Amino acid sequence: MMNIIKLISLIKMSTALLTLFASIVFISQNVNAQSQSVFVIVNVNNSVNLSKQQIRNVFMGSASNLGLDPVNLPPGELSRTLFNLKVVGLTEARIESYWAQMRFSGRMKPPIMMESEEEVLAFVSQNPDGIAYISSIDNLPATVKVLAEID
Amino acid sequence: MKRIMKRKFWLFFICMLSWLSSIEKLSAGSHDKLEISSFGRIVAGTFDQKEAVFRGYDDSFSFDNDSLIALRADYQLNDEWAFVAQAIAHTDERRESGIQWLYADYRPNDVLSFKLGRQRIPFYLYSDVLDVGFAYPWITPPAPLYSSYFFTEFDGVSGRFDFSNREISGSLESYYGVFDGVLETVDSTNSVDVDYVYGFIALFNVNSWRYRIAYHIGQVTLEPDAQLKPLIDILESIGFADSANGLRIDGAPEYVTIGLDYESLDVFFRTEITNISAGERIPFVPTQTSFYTTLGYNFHPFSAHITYSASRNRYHTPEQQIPQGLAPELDQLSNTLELIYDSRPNDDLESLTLGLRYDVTSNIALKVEHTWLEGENGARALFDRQDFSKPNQEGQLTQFAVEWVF
Repeated sequence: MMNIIKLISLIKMSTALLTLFASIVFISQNVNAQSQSVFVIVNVNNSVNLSKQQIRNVFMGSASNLGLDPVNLPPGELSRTLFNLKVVGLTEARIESYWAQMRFSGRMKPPIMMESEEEVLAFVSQNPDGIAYISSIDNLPATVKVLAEID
Repeated sequence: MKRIMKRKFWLFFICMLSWLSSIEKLSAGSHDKLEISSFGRIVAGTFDQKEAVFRGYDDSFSFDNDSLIALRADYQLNDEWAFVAQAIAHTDERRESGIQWLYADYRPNDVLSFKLGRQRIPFYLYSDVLDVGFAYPWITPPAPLYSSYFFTEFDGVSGRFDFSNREISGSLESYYGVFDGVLETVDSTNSVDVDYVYGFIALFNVNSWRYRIAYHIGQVTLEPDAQLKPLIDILESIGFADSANGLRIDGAPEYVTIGLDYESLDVFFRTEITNISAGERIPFVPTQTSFYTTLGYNFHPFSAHITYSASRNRYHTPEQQIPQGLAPELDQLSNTLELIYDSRPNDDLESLTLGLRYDVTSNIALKVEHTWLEGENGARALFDRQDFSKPNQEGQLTQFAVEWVF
């Protein structure tokens, strides 16, 4: 009987600690991320002018009429976290759920994913319809321009 | 039999996993023309009732009801044409394993797309991805609403038009098709023939809100139960054709569905309401109104939800054609008919669910869910097996799930 009570207390304590840990990680990520800007970039020859809502739509697959080719970075990358928080307005988990629904109902596929900001810059430089997000514009090539800076 | 099914499932599971690992190498070398993806779920659950059974769950701990695995192959022929096949294996022997989607996908430009072949009907927001548990917050989508259709697939054509401007985006979708198959309900299996089914779906996204309006109609003919067939024959042979037809399921139920969805970093809200009506033509199909509302809170990597759902079903009973008091045989026939109408099952049900989801990685999630179910007095309430010692069916369902997409 005592063992069962101990086990229940242990489960309760672990759950509380796990929740606390998750909240701290989430809050600290948010606090760090909130203070940085994310830059949305396009090819220098692209004259497109988009609202924040339209940028969101492009990356969520619901603005295909604009003919743009969005590129994502892997989950966990700083610029992707910033973009999710400030532009998409959803957590990574909710975005992945959304894409599972879209993919397996055959409606659409998520944007292609590249491994680094260097790869993303190279893609947008070479692709007139390319659109992506980065966390720094310190080494921006002349073939790429900033479409929007989102604080 | 059950053991053989389970063995088949696991055999399929293992084969697919080994195939997946080899395919990964193949697709990497063929410029991503062939994409292989997969999803699945292992769901365990128990229902707290001794006698009653709900959705296959009884008071034992079971993995057999909702676990599944699926494999999808997308072959991109060129910029316009793609071919898609999706196969699924269920642990639940009442649900059909095999090819679920098989279609050609044609996209002539950025805003138009067409599918030709076997597809799933998008009755509700998650109807066409009901097996992809990773896509939604629940383990079991609200039963009062998500249990209410005759068939899930069709063979035909569908088209979609996407639009967007600075404020709004969305899509207009339509489909037309036919279906021949088997209908599994909580207590019977009948062959179903759908002469036509079509629908229109409009979806609008405005800021964090999503609005969905849908209309579906299908001409359904269901093979009568073996017990009813002799009665139908007798009624027809003595000239009571309307009474005989009243025992058949042959008509065109209409579905009207409205959905509303809000999602932000912290919270989500989702609601759908539907009305299904077959008019007065099919006395065995009730006019049904059902809905659910989900309120959720995100605290990454966790999210929690509370969901309330309910359904109300009302049957139309046709006027009695058989005259009473003329002959004892006719009286007996008339009484039998009344008895049959009185015993039509009522699936009025309310449910309240609390659930927690933990996204372990970007493609694996763990869920736990507890549902309180309460049926209307005397109603079957979607229960597979009822506890007739109680005035109404009720119980608590506890479920655990691992969901994944690859």
